[in-house]
Amino acid sequence: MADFIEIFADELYQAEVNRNPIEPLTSRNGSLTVEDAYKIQLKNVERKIKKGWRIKGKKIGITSLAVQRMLNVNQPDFGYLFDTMYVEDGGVIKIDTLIQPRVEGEIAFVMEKDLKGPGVTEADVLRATAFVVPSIEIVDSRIRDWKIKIQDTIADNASSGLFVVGGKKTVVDNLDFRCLGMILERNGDVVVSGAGAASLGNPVKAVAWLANKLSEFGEYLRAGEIVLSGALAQLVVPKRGDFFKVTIQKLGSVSVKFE
Amino acid sequence: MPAKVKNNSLVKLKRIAQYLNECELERKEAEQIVKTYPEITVDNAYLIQKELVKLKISRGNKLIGYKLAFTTRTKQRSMGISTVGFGYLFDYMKIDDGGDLNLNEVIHPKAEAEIAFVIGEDLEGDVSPYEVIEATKYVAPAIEFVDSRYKDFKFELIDVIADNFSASRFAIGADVKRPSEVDLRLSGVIFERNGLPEKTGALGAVLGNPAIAVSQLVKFLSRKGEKVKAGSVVLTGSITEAIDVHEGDFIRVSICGVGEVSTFVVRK
Repeated sequence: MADFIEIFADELYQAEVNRNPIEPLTSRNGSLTVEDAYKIQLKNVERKIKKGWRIKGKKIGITSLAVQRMLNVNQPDFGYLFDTMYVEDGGVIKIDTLIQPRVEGEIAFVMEKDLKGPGVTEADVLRATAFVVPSIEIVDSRIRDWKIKIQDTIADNASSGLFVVGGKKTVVDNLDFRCLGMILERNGDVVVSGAGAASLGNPVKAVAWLANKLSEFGEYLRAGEIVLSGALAQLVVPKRGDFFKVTIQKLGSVSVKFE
Repeated sequence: MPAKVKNNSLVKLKRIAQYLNECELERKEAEQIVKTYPEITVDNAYLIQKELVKLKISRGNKLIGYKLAFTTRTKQRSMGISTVGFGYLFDYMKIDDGGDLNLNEVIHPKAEAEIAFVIGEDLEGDVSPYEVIEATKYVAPAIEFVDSRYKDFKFELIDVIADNFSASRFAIGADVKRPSEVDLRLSGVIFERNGLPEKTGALGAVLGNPAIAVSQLVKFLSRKGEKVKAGSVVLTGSITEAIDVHEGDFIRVSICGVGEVSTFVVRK
């Protein structure tokens, strides 16, 4: 029982380090559960912490109706953000350091207070949030060709890769999160757009879900942590030389370049 | 598809227009034009569209505006063009806000979320987006029901131009705003079916700002010697992917800072 968790965790870690994707875990173990998948994820979180990586926050995934239907699930998932994944606003990403990256525009919440579930409401999230910033998440998959089921992506730290956050802080007062529009530009062309409602109907709800979900693992959101609250539009495949800019209504913009 | 006509191009184009109009009126799927007439050019296709418009006007339909297509730079670039495509809107296509789309009047409709510009002053010539905004009386949320007459929505550029860009039905919201009061780039758009946010977007999905799309329409029409008259409605192009609709659906488009528009999908 414990064996395959260790083995899969090790495979995923090696795949990440060597940038060499592996076959889906679910194609090799049909009975892999969501609970098993979070155990695999946690194994690698512990391993990375031992290596000196520092947790910067969490990311929420599988938050749109389209992706939930594609994966045939009705729940989101989450993964950990580490300091090693951070890219500065306007920074450059070497595309070769990733396996099969995709670009997303999101709203990032920065926590002012600890937030512990269960029973966390949207109102609790708003009270515990210091401010929000626009962000770009670069997701990546250690599973070959993104052939993921929900268990595969959870085990793979929710397919996290890198993240960029903008430097303009906006307090949550009077923001209608459902309504905030987002445009993602590639080399000056708007390629996808979305609105806050794309993430579980409201990104605040997604953060509440996360706080409650973490409580199942005895975990919680800590003051100062960054929470990427879910993609607001379809994923975009980057190419070498592409310049991406995400602009979110009232929150400002954030950009990154691939080389 | 009408039998092939040789040597008389205008007769040919008129026959194709008649065929497409019949398909619309009798709700039957059309064969692709390009399959039978591979020689037809883009200019010819717009002539077919023009013949289709004449047919509708001769039947007593009233021209009330335009609908735009190819409203992203990625799409325009992939087609090697730098302008929107457009079709004509007629009075019979209008559905009231909160009204019904009757499936018995259409073939296989899909819904699109858009922002409509209602033009206050005639627009012609080489207008810039800011001049479009000055001449626009108000903007409103809109649902467009596109209904390609072609089988399985399969068509090529020539086909869709000839088919009046799949124009079929549309609803304009009663919530209207002056364009200067609206963030035409970043306002969020929520496209719901039965209360679920099926798709979301922002107004900038349309060429960065829908006013740019309207300015491209005006320039395009000017080259044909036409203008956008005061009172015209312009559906500025789909902001999100289209969604399928089924009997019993309740479709709603909310544009943040503008308002909402909704339609029931019925069979009656």
